[in-house]
Amino acid sequence: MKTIARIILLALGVLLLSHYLPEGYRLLIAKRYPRPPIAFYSCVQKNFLFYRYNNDTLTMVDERGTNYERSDFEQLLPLDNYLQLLRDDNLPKAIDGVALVPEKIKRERISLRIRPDMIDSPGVPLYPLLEAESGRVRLEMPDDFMRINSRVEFVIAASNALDAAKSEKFIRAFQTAGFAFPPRLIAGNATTLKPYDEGYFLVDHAGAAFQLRMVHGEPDLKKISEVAPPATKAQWETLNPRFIHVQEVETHEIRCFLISGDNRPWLVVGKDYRLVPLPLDDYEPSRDSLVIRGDLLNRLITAANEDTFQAVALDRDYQVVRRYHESLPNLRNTAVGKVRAILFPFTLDFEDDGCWEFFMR
Amino acid sequence: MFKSLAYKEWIKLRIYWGLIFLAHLAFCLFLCLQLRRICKVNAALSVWDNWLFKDFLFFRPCQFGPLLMGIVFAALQFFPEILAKRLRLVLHLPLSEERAVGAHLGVGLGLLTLAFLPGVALLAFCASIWFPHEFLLNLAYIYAPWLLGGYAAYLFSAFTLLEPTWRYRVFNFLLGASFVRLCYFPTTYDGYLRLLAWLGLATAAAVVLPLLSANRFGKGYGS
Amino acid sequence: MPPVIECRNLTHYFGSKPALRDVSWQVLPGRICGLLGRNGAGKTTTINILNSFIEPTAGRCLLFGEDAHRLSPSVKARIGYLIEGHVQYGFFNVRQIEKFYAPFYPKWNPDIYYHLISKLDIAEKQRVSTMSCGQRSQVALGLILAQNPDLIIFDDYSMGLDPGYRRLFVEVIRDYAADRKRSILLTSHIIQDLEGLIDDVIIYQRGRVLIDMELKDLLGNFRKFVFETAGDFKDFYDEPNHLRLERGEKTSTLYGFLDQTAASVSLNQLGIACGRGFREEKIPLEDIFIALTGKY
Repeated sequence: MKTIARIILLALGVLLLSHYLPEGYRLLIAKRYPRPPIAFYSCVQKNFLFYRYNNDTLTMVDERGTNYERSDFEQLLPLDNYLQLLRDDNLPKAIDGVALVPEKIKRERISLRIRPDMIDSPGVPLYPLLEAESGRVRLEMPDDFMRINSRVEFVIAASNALDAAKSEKFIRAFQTAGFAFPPRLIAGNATTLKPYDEGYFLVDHAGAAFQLRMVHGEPDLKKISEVAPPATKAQWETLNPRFIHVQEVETHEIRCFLISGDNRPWLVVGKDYRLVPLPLDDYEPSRDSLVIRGDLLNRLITAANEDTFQAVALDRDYQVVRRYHESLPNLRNTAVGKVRAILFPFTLDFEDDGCWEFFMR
Repeated sequence: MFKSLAYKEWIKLRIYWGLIFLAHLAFCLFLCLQLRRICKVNAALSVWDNWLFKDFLFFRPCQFGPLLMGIVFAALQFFPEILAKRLRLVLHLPLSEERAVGAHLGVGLGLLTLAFLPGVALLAFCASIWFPHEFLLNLAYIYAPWLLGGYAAYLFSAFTLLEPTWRYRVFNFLLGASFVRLCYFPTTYDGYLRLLAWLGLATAAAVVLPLLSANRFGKGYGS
Repeated sequence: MPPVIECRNLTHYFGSKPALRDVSWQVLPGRICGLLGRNGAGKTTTINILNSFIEPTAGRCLLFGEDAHRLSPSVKARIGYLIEGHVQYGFFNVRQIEKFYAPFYPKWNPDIYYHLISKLDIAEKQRVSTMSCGQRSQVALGLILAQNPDLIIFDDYSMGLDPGYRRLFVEVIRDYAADRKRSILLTSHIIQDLEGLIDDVIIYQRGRVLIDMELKDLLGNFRKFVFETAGDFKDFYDEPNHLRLERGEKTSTLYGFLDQTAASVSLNQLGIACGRGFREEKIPLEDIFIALTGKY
């Protein structure tokens, strides 16, 4: 018994030390991870511009490393800095034949952020289904929450009881649409602070994608591969999404972001559920942070991880206009990192990517 | 023989256990009544919202309850044993040292569980009135690491108290503190889903550690 | 008959400081043995080794033939142990404490315990922690006797007890051991109590065994001689021969395993005039002890 106890003590001690010592080292060193740059696409110069951080000093540079003064930098990015340029009376009237009207610029601004910890992160499986066309200016939270497992149910918050009638109505709709329970994925944007409601995107047990909204209290459930035009129908049938992020934008252009079963990123665009593949090299959802930004003229997609940073600029038809790629200095290769690797041959890291997990490295 | 040792621990601890049990139950009752009032007065909907989207848990004040109870219990149980080295009385009884100390730990863990559980059951019952079962599962996942933290705190406190030399006591305490911290990572929903089984295993393994200290105590180190 | 307790070449160091040096002795069945020694002589260390509280640096200590720090539960059941200070669990009352210990010992006899308790002036629900030192000692003693052990080890039974309780203790032990079926090892600083009690005596001096013999032999053969001081001479102590000479202003004393003749011879050998008034005096055990171990 004593030997067993000693072994356990040793094991626990080693495991805990392999976690806390490197943590302590990190605390002591207090060196900031070299931050990846923030990219912009200049519709004026037709190239990439960056905010670069070097130990907290911010420099504004282009792809070749040329430094810019702040006012020059802002002039090259009129769609990001239109308010400032307007104030300075410097806003161009048009670019590439497109008129720059401040209200339009504002309306077309899009920003989506997909972090690795958003994928596979658990949550409470209760979803508020908003009324999509209430006739009111603002969206309102419903009184009930929807759950979908082997059937569809609505639970009324105030009484914690089932709304049987509503549940039945929806079940019939699901059955009619040919939904295979239980669903693999339910994704929506459960807030009222958005311009309109896309409802929920569902993936049923067979891997088929559906969209669910509630219109005038009635279920509006569509199997996307059946309502999509022939061009995209085949794509939807084999897509098998494993992650969907819904974020409604003013222009209704982007319906959602999704990652297909083969780990490729897509945007679902427009009324016809057009699938736009994001032209990224080697995108790994569990590792890379994705940012999708859009304005009046372009779309900009950046993906960053510990080692690499890439940016792709697209036009409004989602055709690639320009690419950029760089390797990031990994902390591991710096002096600090090397010392760390020598001192701590193995470390036990706890990381919260939605779920706490531990890794032995 | 276990019965006798259990009897001894019960006589020693019964008043304290009663107080802790009642205090915990009263606290949980207070939280439940508070929840009830909020649900009735405000919309229950906003409570659901706050739980789901703003991580506002009605039972979050309980977070460090099990931890505190674990430490206090271990102190109440083992301080009397190490003062004037009374544990020797048990070590001289005609049974093996492991059984003797193991029986103490078993009773301690049992009493601790009996002190926790009614309060937790009350919280769960109350939650089941106001919330659907998905919330209950969430409550379980969030509460589970706190409970493990409580058990771990008890075991490591016993491990520290029974150790006769100050040098190792400090070491044991640090080991315990660093282990227990693993149970209190900030988390929402079922963030501990994948970690829980490992933590549970490690906590169960820690049961043997106080036996080590007791063995050193019996050998007279530091005396 | 095999000894109940056997110490073989016990040696123990606390760091570099020696506490016991090559100590060997035995307690035979049915005997009461007193382990005496001055503070720091090594008694407590020996008792701690006997109770598996310390592992000796070298040597062995056997109880009923088993190593002291690896006793089997069945042997543990045959040994009763009184901790210095009559330490017991204070949260019990007299009934509860008996109820606690009884199931561990197959030969438990509650009557003897309650008989002792009945003589004390305590309420039934009174907790041990609220009792006086003397009352607690009776509880501790009663529990040990109820256990019906074959061997009892009393670690300083007299600590904190007034003369009445001390006398009570001695009488109870004497009665208990009268059937010669039990063995007892005890230590105490109150030597005069032990004269009528113990059969064998072991005296420690600086970690070694100085004396190991039957009490009656010690009392019968160790003598004290006094005489008028004449001339100048120093105090003299011969440890191996247990001979001590103390010079006083008026009278001087000679101690040793000597009869009158041998005493005179010794004095002559030391070159000391056998002055007037040379006579033998009776010497109680306590004085024998001090003579053997010294005052410093």
